[in-house]
Amino acid sequence: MLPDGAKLLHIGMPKTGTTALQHSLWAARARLEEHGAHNVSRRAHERKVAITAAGNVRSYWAAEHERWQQLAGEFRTSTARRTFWSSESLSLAAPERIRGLREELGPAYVVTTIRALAPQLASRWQQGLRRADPLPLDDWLRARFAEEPLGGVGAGFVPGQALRRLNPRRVLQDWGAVFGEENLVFVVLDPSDHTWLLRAFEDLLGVPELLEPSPSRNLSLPLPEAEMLRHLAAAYRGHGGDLDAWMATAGDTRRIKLRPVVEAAPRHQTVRVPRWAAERADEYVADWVEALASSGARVLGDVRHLFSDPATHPVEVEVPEVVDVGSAGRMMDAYFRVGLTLPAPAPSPDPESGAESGAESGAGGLAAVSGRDLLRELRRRALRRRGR
Amino acid sequence: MSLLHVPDAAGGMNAFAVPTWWASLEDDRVTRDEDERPDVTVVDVAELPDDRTLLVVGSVAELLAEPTPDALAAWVGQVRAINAAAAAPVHLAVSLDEVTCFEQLLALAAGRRWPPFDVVAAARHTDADPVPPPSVPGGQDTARAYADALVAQVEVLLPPAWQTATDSAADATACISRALDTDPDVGPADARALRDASRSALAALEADGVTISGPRDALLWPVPAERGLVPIDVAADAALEVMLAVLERPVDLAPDRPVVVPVGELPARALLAKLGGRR
Repeated sequence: MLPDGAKLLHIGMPKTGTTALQHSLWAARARLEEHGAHNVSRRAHERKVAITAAGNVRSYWAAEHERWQQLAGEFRTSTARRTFWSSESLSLAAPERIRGLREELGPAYVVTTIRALAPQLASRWQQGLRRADPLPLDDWLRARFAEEPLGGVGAGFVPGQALRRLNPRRVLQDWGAVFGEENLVFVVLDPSDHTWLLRAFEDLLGVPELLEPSPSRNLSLPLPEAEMLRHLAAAYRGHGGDLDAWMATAGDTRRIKLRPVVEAAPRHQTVRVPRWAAERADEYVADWVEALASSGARVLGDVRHLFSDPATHPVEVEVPEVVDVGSAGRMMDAYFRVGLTLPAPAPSPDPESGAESGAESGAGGLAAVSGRDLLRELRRRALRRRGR
Repeated sequence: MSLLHVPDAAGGMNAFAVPTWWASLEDDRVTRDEDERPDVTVVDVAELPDDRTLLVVGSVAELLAEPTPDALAAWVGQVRAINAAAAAPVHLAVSLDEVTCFEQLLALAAGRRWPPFDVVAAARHTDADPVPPPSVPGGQDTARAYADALVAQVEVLLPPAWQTATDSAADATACISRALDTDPDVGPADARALRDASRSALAALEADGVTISGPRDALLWPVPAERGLVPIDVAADAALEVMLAVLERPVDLAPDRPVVVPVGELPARALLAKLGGRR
């Protein structure tokens, strides 16, 4: 399908099975190399590197400029039959950074995975909750539709504008202008066949069927637990909570352990957008399909999968007001534990003693500890061990 | 130098602030002006950026004469009256522990939590040394179930961490316990109304310029769980407090707090040098 030496940049979109795909690609990296397909990533997903590349560095995520330069160089100079990198964070890049990516990475095929919009919006709302966005689902949906014009691309782009980010017209306009529209590939997910995405990437990479489905995937909270998270986020913001501290703990999906909450939730009431939103989403999809058809981009898969049947969506989403007591306990446990992982503030030097002060002093500052304290501690431990 | 104004014990607030307690401190920073303000003790405090009036309160149930919106309104009126007449803005410090020492008083006045909590040690848990679940005050079955879900996995590595983890787990457990355990007993509908009223009351006090610190969820009237379900806002209030109690405490540690010593991590040479030095 693609010529030898082709390079692929998979830019998302988020919530299109990217996590599972990246883990499948990572698990099969040795076999992919055997077939000439080189993954420049050092892990399943180098998110912070991609965020750095996209120019979307935040105060709570340290930039990884050095690694990005290294990765870009490897991508640009690779002589493999296929070279690829996958990160949905790349789709955060604004036009000026897309031009920067083209300069630093060289020519590449830009691959975008897309799926049915209505369920994707529900997933994106949940993702926002994890980042302390306190808007109720209905309000969030109205805000997203309002900020993106039907039949066009809204001016400017900032993270959080979910519909604008997902808009294929934006990809055609911004990425197509830089990498060439003919070098854009859109892969449409099949909701009834989760292996289809793997097969599509095998075709793009020019390798035989070797990718295995990965159990790694992002979790979706049931609606009551999602609402509890929304209330927590709202209360945290109302309290004047520090967003950096939130993002370093509760907002970090690698740290916050919500899997036990999801797995033990007594009622699996999944989040679905209301019917009006599903209908509106289909209007956008119809426009996007038209834009794709009239573009020079390649489309893999059946664009009919981008639509959903509004009749299967509830007329109104009944927002739960109660949550199972045990489930709420597990949620609390998760937030208690993730709070413990917040790095201690950097110790400020004590000009008199030279010892560290603050939280660090108790944990490791030997100079701040008297010999008497040490002896007492040793004795206590010795007695305790003897008592075992 | 700033002045901390501490009104005498009244209406469930500042229960510690009685003459014998102040006298026991024997601290010359503590003064009274019986002519100007016979009901207020003033403390010279270097650590505070501004003068403030301190009201230390416990849980809302302890503050109200009876569990009714009228009693809540009366308490709010009392705080507003103090705020209006006070020489400095009122700071409402929620503390579920009795004030027993000067350092604790200063920590609460500064908007910090007490007791000091070694979050670094608490985070150093392993599977090797499980902590027994702390008891849940109140005894409500649902609270117990909630607590079981919360604390079953709390484990620590070192004895000091064991203690601090127990403390932290107990605090976390207490959040949901006090959120659900209505004592005195109030029906669900009345409890909800009281909770909404207490939430509004706190917002109104803050709008008046009163600042609030500590586990403020304790000032929201508890709501009982029904058929194993808890109102989402109540659960979120408790979860927020659990998280803030961990997030806020690291910055609250005073440099001279009791030391927790992870001996196992100290280099042997430095340890020997320390033990051989001046004690």
